[in-house]
Formats: sequence, C-alpha cells, structure tokens
Amino acid sequence: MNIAEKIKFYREGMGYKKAELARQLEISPAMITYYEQGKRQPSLKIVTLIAEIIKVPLEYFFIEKEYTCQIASRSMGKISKEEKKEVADFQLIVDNFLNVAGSNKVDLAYTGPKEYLEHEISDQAIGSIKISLGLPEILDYESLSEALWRHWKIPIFHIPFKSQQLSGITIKRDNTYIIFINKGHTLERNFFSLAHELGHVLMHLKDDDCIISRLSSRHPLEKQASNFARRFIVPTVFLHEKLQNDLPAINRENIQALAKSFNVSYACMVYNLEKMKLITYTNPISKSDELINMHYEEIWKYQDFPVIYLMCVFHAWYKGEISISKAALYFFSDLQSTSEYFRLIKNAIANNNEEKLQYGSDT
Amino acid sequence: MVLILDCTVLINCIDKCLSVDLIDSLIAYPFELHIVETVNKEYLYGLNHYPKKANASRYHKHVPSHIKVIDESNFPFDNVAKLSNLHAGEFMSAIYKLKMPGEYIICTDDKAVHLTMQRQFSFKCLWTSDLLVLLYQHVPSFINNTEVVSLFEEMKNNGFIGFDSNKINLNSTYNFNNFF
Repeated sequence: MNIAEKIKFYREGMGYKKAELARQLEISPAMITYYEQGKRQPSLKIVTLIAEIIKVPLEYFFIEKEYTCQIASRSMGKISKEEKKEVADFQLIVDNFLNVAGSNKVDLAYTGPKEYLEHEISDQAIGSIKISLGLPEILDYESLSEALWRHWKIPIFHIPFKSQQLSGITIKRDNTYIIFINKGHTLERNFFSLAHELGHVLMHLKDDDCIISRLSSRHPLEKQASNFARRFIVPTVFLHEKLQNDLPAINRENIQALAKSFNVSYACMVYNLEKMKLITYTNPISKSDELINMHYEEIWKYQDFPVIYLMCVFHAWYKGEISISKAALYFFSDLQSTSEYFRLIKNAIANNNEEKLQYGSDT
Repeated sequence: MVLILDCTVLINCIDKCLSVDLIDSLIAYPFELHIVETVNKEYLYGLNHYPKKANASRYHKHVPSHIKVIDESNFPFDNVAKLSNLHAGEFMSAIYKLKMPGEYIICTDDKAVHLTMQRQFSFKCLWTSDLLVLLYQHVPSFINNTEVVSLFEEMKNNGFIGFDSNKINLNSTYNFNNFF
C-alpha cells in the first residue's frame, strides 16, 4: 500500500469519517479525498497530524507492515466514539510495549494453555488452571495479576479508563496477550474483571484481535467469560461448604460476609447464588447498593503500568533507542515528568532499591 | 551557523539554569537559533500545563526575536522511516536538519537523536554541555572555565535532562569541523 491507500485504510479502520478528520486537521473534506486518491501529496506535517488524530503510529504510514487496528470486533452492540478512542490508546500501548520489549529482548509470548480455545471450561479444568498458575483455590486480584505475568507472561495494565462503562479490555497481538483493567472500579470488581478477561484469553481470543468488556453485557461470549470468572474466583464446592456450615440463611448480611471471604463484590456473590438457584434477581436482597463506578480521576500514573513495561521503556531510552519525548508518549505523560521519573529509576537502580522502583513518585 | 534547538535544550537552557540565561549568552555569538513549530508547541503546552516547571517570561523574551520558529508544514518525508524511533519535536527537528544540510546543527540532549543522526546519516549533534564548552572557547572573556563548570553544576542540580554528562570534559577542545 502507498501512503494514499494507507491514509484511507487506517482512517476507515479507526472509524473516522472524512469530514471529522478534515475538521480536526482544519482542511476541507475534499482535500482528504485528494490525499486518499493520490491526487495530492500530503506534507509530513499532515501525515504526522493524521497519525496523531487516528492514533496509528507514524511509522506505519511508511513501512510495509500493517498496523493492527481492528476495534473490538467481537464486542456487543455499537461501540461509542469514546470507547473507540480508549481502545486506540490501548492499541498504542501494546504497539509501544512490543517495540521496547523487542529491543530489550524481553519475551512477551504467551506461555499458557491453548486447549480451551472455543470450548467451555469445566470446574475440573479450572482446578488445573489454578495449579498451573500456582494459585490457591481462594485468591485475590493481586495474586491473580502476579501469577498471570509470572507463569503465562500476561502483563496487566491497571489504569483508570475514560469510559466508566468498560471494565476490561484484552488485546492479542502476535501471540502476546495484554489485559487492561479499569482501576476506576472497586478492587473486588477488578478481581472479577481480571478473571473475566482471563476467560476471554483462554476461550475466545484466537486471532490478533481485541475484546472489550462492558458492565452487564449480554453478548454470548461475555456471558461465557463471566460464567468462567464467577466459578474461577468463587469455587462452587467451597461456596457450598460455607453455606452449609457457616452461613445457611441467605440474607444481606450473609451475602456480604460471603463476598468478603472470597474477595469479591456483593453483585458477584449474588450472581453465584443465582446460578446455584439459591436466590432470584427479583428478590430485593439481590440488589446491590455498592458503587460500581466510583468518581475517579482519569489521570494515568507511572505505577499504573506494569513494572516490566516501565523497565522496557526505561532501558530503551537509556540505551538511546527511543527519544525522551517518545518515552513520555509511551506513558501518556509529559517530557519533564518522565525525565524526573527516569532519574528516580536510575537512582533506585543505583541504590538497588526495588521499592522505590515500583512505587516511585508520580510527579 | 544555525543551531536547531529542541524542547529538552530549551528546558535546560532556559529553565534549569537559573543564574544565567543561556539564550542571552548564545545570541552574543554569530549563531542563529531555530526551533521547529512542533517544539514551539511542545514548550507552550508545557507552559500552560506545568507553569511551575517552565519559565514563561524567559521564553517569551526570546521567541521570536532571538529564536526563530520554523514553519514545518511542508517538510518532506523521504527519510521518515529511518527516524521512526524519534517523536514529535525531536522528529521534526531531525527532518529540518536533513532538509537543511551544511551549517545547521541540531542541539539536543536526546540520545536517540544523536544516535539516529550519527548512524543513519553520519551527522553529529550537539549536547547542551557542549554548548557551554563552545561559549567558553569562542569568547573566553565572556565566560571563563570556572563559570562553565558552575553553570553546568547548576544545570545538573536543577534537574538537567541530559546524558553522559559525567563523560563530558569541559576542558576539552570542541572541534566544529566535525559537523561539516
């Protein structure tokens, strides 16, 4: 493809209309048509601006390889503009991550099982999955997140999403899976979302693609992933045992206590009890009064990125492979803050201070 | 001779060096100082978003009277793929240098720009610390070695965004012929 064809390909792929792109570029829509038909040669400035607006890395306009820009093809319903932009940002992060991981020789290839693709996962299989992840039967968000990276090389980005209705996004690229979890939701919700995204990784994401997960989606794949998630984080046998021995009555206090013992949200526990036919959604106690969407700041902090991503970007910059402004772009931050953060990492490395490295200043 | 400055240099030269305005020092020499429009926008963005970190009064004092902003709207994109590891201001500055060979020098503290320009195009770039050396060498009466060292120390103490600063020998002779 030449530049003209690529402009059209990426514009359409990212869901931009000519008029909208033209408005942002402050040129006429006819000019976009000329560019796309090859009748006018766009300047570098224009190509750079187009790349920034439609969120496709500039180099993809000039190299043979095509940028994977499918937007959540399997998600349910129409994707809003806001969600598209969110996914495009995450696609950029994945692209950047693969770039810097490659230059640092960090292998991000998924090492988990593939036999569950396009299959239901039984309770027994869930047990095997937990064993291969080195996890106990009852776990929490932190332990699952750590195990997914350590054992299967799935990095988790725990960042506040712009779109509050999205709970998680999983992107697959070249045998690498990267999960994004909405930090704006409660940690209990995040726990379920992470298990839900794991369900997508194991059962649904076969080709390079992206799945977005919304709250209360009714899409069959979403239902399947949620069904996996609820059994993964609340093992049915353990729940049965607890109900029989400790908390036989189903009332609001007991549901809260159960939710707490499994580190899950009230809604998740109701979901499990409903599946066990111990409660119906018409029952008033099934209604949760917990906050689903907290009012949160959408500002991304350095510690929201996995340490492996921080270190890969840092090393690429340190070796002079990427510019400081590009490194700042990788963190969706400004040049000065990134410089200051890198200096902190340098000091942490010099002092061999792991704690500083992971939870350093986010100025 | 034209020095193409990037955002890092502006930050170092204008913001980080509190006692002496390096741009003021530079304009005493037969240098023209240029920045591309993207760098200008980056700096203005920084001024608006991080007013405590950037020095608005110094910047506005110099642009456009002493620092010329270059319109980059028609830059060519012949070597763009080779510069794909650079971004925004650094990227446009590198394009500008490629467009204007000869007595145009990119002054940057970005290691990626130095490596790319050297490896891909055999052009050397100038570090901010080298600028200090130049100031010292060309008009010794204007700034002496002690002042160079103290300026350099001051920049470092104020968050100098540079590389290999410990390896720069301020007493060394800087050979301008390397650039041509």
